[in-house]
Amino acid sequence: MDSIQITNLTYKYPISEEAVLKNISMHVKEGELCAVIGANGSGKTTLCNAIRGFVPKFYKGEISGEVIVNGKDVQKEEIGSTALDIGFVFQNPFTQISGIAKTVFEELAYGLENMGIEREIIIRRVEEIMRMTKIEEFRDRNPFQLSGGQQQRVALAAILIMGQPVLVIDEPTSQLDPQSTDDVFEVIKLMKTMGKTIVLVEHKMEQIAEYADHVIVLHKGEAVMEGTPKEIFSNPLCEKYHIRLPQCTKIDKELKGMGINTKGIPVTVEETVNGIKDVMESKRKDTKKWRL
Amino acid sequence: MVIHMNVQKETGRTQKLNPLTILYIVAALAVISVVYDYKVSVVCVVMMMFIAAGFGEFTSYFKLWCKSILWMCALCFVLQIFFIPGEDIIWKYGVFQVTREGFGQAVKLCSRLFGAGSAAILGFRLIDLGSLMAVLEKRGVPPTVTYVLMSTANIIPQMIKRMGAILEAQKSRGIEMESNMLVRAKAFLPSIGPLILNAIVNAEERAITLEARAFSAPCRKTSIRVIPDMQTDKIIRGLMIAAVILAIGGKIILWIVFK
Repeated sequence: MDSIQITNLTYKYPISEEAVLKNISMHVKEGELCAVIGANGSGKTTLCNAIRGFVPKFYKGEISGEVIVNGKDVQKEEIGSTALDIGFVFQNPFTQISGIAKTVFEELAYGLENMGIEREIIIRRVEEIMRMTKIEEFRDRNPFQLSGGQQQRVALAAILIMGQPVLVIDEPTSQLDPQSTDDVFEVIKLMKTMGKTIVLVEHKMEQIAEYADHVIVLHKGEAVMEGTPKEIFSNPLCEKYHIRLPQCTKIDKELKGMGINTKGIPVTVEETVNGIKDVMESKRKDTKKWRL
Repeated sequence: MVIHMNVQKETGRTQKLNPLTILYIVAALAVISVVYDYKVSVVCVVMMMFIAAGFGEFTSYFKLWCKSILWMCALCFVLQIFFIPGEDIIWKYGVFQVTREGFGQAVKLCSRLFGAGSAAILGFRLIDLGSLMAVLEKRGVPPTVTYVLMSTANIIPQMIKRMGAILEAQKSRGIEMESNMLVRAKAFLPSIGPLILNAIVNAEERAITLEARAFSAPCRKTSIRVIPDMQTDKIIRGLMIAAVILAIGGKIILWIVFK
């Protein structure tokens, strides 16, 4: 079943000269992690804002087409009501702190307080989410005094706790170091195992190859490619749309250039290792045959 | 239980009284000291010191009070006595002169500043803003108002930190920061621009953060803070209201009698 259905979506900001999103149609199945990739200015963040309903309600501008999330037309829904169905996390960890809480515990509780959840349930859920996202050590710390990576994990946990079935995550690791990136992806992996439908904008192709079920490539506001990570990264059109390939795929390309023909095009570390193993195995067999 | 300890921790400092009761006490002392002359103001400030001591906050309150109110009053007093003109000169040195009218005006203004300022600082030291906002929200104050107050209090230290970072960045670009007042002022003004622009950009993102956290969701809001409101609180609040009415009424009567 489709959780997100976008049909012929075109959007123009009030001050932009041309449309930022052009006739986009896409579907995201329930429980799927859909990665949106593309060069800067291709419309990824605007697409996230359209799914969440921030365009045109928050940013104004002209919109046409339809965005249906779990059967509801987000353009017709109140911006406040959409918060109960769609979680939203964006790039800057420093502005994702509510500014109202003195501790991480209170920060996590804030969304549930706004949703009118009873105190005892809030406390239980905060404890549970802190344990699941491994942020218990920050419990009594002021959210403003955490590092960027820690703040981003708190921001993800603060959305995860609200229990929306659909999550839109816009470049959550763009300002983070490799360790913090891994920590954030651990939380995203957890969200996926919880059965959430996730739309993730990300530039780190290794992580996309590993976690995404479905990839959409945006180029100058148009959805130009769509498929599984394997289908996308093995497509020669990637170069045309300035899509950086995962390191594994690059290594495989180099090996093929050197005459080492691995089977297929790998996109993850595991696939690359298996591919190289297969080649080495067949070489060993050939050598044995030749000796005999 | 661990969970309850965590939630109560924030309110631990002033748990003896409901934050609204402390607000009433502080406001009553401020009003009384503003309505009457300097003698009453001094008595009120002494009472504030005792209250701070009662909450175990005397040292921090006194230090803050010396650094802010005392200095502000001294500066205000000096400016007032020298710059308010009058007929009756009581001291003169060169172009500087102190008149009886200026002196009287300075005492009057400083006494108000002394009382109201000391009360404000006492409130700042004793009231846990988060708990106070939770109480006010429960009493019908719109969440938008409480959010603005709370976030302002929490974000100001962050802005000061950011200002420090901007000043450091300007310094590393060779802008002179440690010379006379004029040079420092010249360097300070261009640093304000990025701070304000940054704050405007951040405000938009913070609005999105709030929407993401269901701030405007059509739900009845709840709170994890449990703030007790005992009989003592209600009595103290009643007494404070009576004290303010009596003080203002007394002042009006005094004004009518002595007029």
